[in-house]
Amino acid sequence: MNAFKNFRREAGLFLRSRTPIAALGLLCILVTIAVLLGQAEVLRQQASIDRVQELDSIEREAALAGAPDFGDAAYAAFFLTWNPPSDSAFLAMGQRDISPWMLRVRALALEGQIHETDNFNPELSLTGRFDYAFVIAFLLPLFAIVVMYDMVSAERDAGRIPLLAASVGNVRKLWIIRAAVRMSGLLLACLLPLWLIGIFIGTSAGSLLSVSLIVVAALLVWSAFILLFSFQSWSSPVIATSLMGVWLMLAIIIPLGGKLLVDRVIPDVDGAQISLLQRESVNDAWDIPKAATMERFYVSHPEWANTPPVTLPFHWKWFYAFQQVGDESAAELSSAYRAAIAQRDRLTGWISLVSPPVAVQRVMQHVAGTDVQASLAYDQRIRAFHERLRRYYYPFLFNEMPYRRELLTDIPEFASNE
Amino acid sequence: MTQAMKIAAGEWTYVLRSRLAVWTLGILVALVAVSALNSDAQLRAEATTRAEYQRQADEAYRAQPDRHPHRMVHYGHYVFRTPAPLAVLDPGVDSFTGRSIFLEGHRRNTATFSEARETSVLTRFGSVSPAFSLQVLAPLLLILIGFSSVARERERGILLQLLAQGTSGSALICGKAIALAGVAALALLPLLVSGIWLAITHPAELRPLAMVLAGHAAYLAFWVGAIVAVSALASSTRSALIVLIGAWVLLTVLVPRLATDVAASVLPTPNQAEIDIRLQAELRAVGDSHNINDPGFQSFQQQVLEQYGVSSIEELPVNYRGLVSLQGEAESSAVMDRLMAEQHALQRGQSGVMKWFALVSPYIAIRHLSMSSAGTDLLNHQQFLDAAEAHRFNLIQGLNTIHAEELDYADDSARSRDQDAEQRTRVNSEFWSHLQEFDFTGTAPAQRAVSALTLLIALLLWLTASIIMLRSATARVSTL
Repeated sequence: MNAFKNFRREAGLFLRSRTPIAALGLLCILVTIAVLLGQAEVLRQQASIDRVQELDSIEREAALAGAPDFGDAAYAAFFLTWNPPSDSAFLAMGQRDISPWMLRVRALALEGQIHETDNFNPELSLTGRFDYAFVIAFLLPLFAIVVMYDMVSAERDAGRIPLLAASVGNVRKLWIIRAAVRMSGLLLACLLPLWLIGIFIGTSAGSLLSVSLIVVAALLVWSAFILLFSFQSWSSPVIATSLMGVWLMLAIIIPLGGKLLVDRVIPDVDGAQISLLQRESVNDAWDIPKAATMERFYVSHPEWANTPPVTLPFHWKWFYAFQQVGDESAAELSSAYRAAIAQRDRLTGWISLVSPPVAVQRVMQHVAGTDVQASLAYDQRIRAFHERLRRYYYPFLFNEMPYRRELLTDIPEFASNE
Repeated sequence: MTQAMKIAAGEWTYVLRSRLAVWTLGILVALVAVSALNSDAQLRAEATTRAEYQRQADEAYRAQPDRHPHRMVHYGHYVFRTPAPLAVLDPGVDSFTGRSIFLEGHRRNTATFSEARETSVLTRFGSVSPAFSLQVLAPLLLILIGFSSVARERERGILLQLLAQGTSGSALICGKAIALAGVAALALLPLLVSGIWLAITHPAELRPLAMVLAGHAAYLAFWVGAIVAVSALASSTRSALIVLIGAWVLLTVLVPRLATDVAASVLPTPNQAEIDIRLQAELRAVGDSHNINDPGFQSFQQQVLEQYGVSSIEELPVNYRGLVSLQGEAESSAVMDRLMAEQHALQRGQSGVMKWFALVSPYIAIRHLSMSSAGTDLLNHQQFLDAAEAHRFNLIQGLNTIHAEELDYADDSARSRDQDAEQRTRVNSEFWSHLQEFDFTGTAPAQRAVSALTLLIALLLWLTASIIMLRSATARVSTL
């Protein structure tokens, strides 16, 4: 009961101090802006997906309608794949302004298609977005420093410590309560707008809860640093500059050092090699005996091995067979490329243990479904869909059926939860 | 002046005696130097790899066997972007753009494989580069060193003492500013050294180099002035620190990101998928140049027959299929170029919106000044894409010309059904050795420097503002 009364008294005192209250107000506004901007971007992306889905099916219909045979139909018909933003994607844009979340593919060799970049303005990607994860990872610690750094030293500079000791008895308890009041204020500024807007736009309670936990954890870590410094017998400015030094170290220097480390430890597999290899294989097919290509294809697709040999200089089944053989010959390099990305991501995870801002961003991106793993999962979904698509065409091509549009009724379509 | 120098010397002694300040100073200089050395090593490696890939791709192309020329159209070619020399100082957007483009017939591909995917969480706040160290970190470290320069003297009562002893207010402010400018100059030193090195190895880059140096000098001078002025105007060291850190967060962290969101909201760009669909719909109107009977080429056929004065395509002295390929590529390229030019203009528009924020934040001014001088901005990337497209068009039309002039129409028409005809449509591999080398230079260095002038003016405006602040700080100190 006594503790509660003390808390109320401290809260009252705190509410009357100008700078910290202004800081909390500003933080609250920034959080609101970040959430709203993030949500606006999510809505834009969703609208874009809806619009392109419609355009895509119209365009595909036109392509299929004009095709003379199945080979041409498969060549001309593109299929949209997309990675929809989750209900909490507004929290952290993550990979969604660097790696594509919409890609059109057709039944040709996938390695020639899947590495395309989207039409992102690199000058905008360079700056990055002002999203909730950014506010919590980088700005919340700065605000915490402003609100809490002189909790002790201000009293000491004013010579009030003996007086406080006399009036409350236990000064340590007072500091705990004072810290609790200020942390609650910070927490409120970060979570209140999030919950209000989050509930309004229909974010799942699970996501909101996990995000809130991240915020609490980040605040606890930073408060620990701040308290550690603020109990030193230094002057207020020295405490503040030292804390800024800590922030600089954890938020900027360690991540950049981590980047250098990642580059050294896991050199990136050069993507250009994949497309070069795939293209050589695909094009060599025109110059080597048809049977050589077909035999390689039949190893992975024995169900077609009994179809007649290709005798003409051109046959669609041979064309699609060498597309697939091209993918197969680049498969090893391509999975090494993805493995390297995943490995780099894991090492980044280790680095995040010593950098709270990196950890906050990673975990938030995970909750938001915008992290590297989510982008690799989308990559996998595209691959699965592409496989379904090309296998769908094989019966028409290998059985040499005459083209009728109506035969392509159950043509596979991408499902984002594939 | 001697008074000011004395004050400056005193401030330096103070800075050197404070452990925190010495550490900060050390970190600052080390950061700029390490990032310059690291970018240098990385760019060298990168340039070697790219050049090697380009050589391999050229060699592979030249080594192709006797083939139908349209096979080569689909075999295509790769071009690689080698980093600009000044990317050592400012890598700009390089890690966010694709590094290679596949050039083939009928399509204008996007650049593939950007580096950013791989370690984005670590580098979202900035890159390991001298530009980032100087533009974002240096101001913060200068704040940590200089926020107390005047406020401290006032709090300890030394300020009144100094003034009573006859030190003028302007000498005091000047001295403090000179001392902090010395720290800033130390931070600039690694940039200057690598700048001189680059000027020796790439003499053509002298003017943009001077621009980058001048820009950073003006930018840091702005901060020096602002820091000393705030320190003199603030009621206490504590409030000086809070105000300065607030300003730093606002100008280098908040405004740029808000500017990004504003630019993306004001001028939204469509995704590649949407552009491709629009493109395909338009290309359908052009027609499929693989099929000479495509309705899109009916009037072209008429025109060719009239031009050669013959009544059927079999009588033409050239291979009509090759002519259709030439015509189809020309028409489809025109459509693609128009759509891409639209998209490029839209993206430049977004960057233009961002640049207006140079009036809100000097950081935006120096960042864009530095990127565009170094040739690592959006514009340069677009020029790379356009140069690759021009190269593609020439390559493909060269092949289509061979298709039209070297092949027999009857053989060409029968090649999918007749093995012998197919053999006769393969032209001598000698043709592939005429491959032109891809040589991308981008905007001329001198012009890059000129185009950054408006941003330099913006920076000078900021510098003026900080000088005005210093003057009012002087007036305030003198009236104590």
